[in-house]
Amino acid sequence: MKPYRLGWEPAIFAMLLAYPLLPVFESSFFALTKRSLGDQMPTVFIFAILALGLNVVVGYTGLLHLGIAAFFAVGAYVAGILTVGAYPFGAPFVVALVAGTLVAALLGLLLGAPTLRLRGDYLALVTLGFGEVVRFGLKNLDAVTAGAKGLSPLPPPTGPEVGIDWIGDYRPFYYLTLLLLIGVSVMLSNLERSRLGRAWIALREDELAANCMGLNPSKLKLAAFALGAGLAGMAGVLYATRLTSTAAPDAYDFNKSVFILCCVILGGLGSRPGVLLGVFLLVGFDNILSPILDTAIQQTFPSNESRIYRTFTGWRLSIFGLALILMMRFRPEGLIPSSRVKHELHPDEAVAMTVHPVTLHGNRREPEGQS
Amino acid sequence: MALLRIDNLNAGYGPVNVLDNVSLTVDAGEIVAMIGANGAGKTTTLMALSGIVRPRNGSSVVFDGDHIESLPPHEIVRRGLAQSPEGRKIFPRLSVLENLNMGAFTRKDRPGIAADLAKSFAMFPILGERKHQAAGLLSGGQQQMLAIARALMARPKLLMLDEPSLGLAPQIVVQIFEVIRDLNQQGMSVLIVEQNARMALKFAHRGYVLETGRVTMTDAASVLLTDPRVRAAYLGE
Repeated sequence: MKPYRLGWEPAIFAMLLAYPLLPVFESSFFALTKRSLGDQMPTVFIFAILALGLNVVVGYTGLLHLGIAAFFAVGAYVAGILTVGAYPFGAPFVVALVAGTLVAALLGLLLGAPTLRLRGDYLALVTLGFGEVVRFGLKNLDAVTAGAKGLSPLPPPTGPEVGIDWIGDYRPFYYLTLLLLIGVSVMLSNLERSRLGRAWIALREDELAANCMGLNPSKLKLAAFALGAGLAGMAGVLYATRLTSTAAPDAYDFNKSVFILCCVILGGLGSRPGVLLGVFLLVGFDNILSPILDTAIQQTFPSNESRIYRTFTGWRLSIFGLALILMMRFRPEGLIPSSRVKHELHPDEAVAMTVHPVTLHGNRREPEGQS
Repeated sequence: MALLRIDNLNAGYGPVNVLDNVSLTVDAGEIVAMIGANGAGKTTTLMALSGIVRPRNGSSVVFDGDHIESLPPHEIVRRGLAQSPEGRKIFPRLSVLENLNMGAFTRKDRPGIAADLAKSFAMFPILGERKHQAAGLLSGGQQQMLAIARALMARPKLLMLDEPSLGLAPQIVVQIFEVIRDLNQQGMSVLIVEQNARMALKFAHRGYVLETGRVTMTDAASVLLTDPRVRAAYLGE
């Protein structure tokens, strides 16, 4: 096994952990933009958990999954049903978190069991369809899900007696989501180097050969599907708790699934640090950068007309599209590619990495004198 | 008693039958070659033995005393019937070492696996030298070595090789077959499927000729090598 190298990932996490301890950054950011960066970051962390979950399915195992938003929604709605006052449960946050994760994982198993024999495009279509089924289901089961309104209000993770201010202070949520993200990331980094992680990659590389080695493809795919769905469910619980509402079912549409897939591809399929970067860039762009730029544009060119093309947000999809085209042209392996993917897409550079240019002939036999 | 006995193996894809009552045996310690043209059903035979293509009803495959024709692939590997598939099928983005570990996927005995790894590296020093490199960077011959070593990591009782000479230079093919013979001399039973009939029959003890899904001839390999029909059809003479 290769020695484990500490990359820049722990450094980034350390910086993120330290950010709220240094209020000077927050206050200068606030002075600049009238917005709180710390307030925006939990959303980024939540989407990072979601994208890491999708990466298990798409990146490690190589199954194209276009319905991850459905599991995100399931997590959110499980949290809603368990904690919103209109329902009889009134469960604490931790219970909702565990239940949302497990229910989503179970649903992943249920979707996976009959469909995982499908390959490539067919599986992609089934997952896409499933995503839409869940969305319409949530919308139309008004008796349970409050239909198009969504469930609210979700209570904060702890009650008033604990004395944590979840609303006025950004830090509790910041730390809650960041710590969970770090936990998920550490778990996945261990998993990548485990027997199961390598089996997923072997399966992605060559299913027939994996089968010949005695790997059980259906079981492995189901495990990936369930883990991906479970992480998406966990992200969903956090998302709904953060918003204090499940939001409308339409928030979990196909666009959301594709958006998360874009994060994974932009950062680098199968590469954990890459996926984190992809999320920081795309979600950060949406939630942090474009509002700042919108304000800047309006201040610089004041006008009574507020046409959508005069805002940066209006160009959002065009910019995403352009960025993805440029990526596919110049860096198809993603911003921080997994070393394995790089080998495939840039074989010439990879060959230059060989250290022992020894001929087959000279090395086949046993050392001399042993015959 | 034969290590592997196949009686009336029928298999195919969907409505198409590829194998028509194939019967064959491999004794412990033997190299058995199965030769035949493209599309004769050689690969399908191995895939059916591995359980990846389901044998049809009425087929009987007895391996090491047990019926295995209805077992799933991982169970068949666990019982000691391992295959190095056609076209090598190594995992190009896993390292050489990881590829070998995948071969031992059904095993749990860590010390045994470590011992077999050391054995692989003794047998194929080049794999040891390059164990941390991506397997896709190996040359074709080295990849074939890796594919054989990977199949051996399952510690099989019978090793099945599908076209080990495919796409390799003639002198490398000779080396591969020498490796197979060395393995056999250490006690490994081998079932080898080949289009390179001359090489296969030269190294095998017995041979089977497969034509459009049927066994049409079987004899000692040396006899098949001199048979005029085999010479005309498969040896280009």
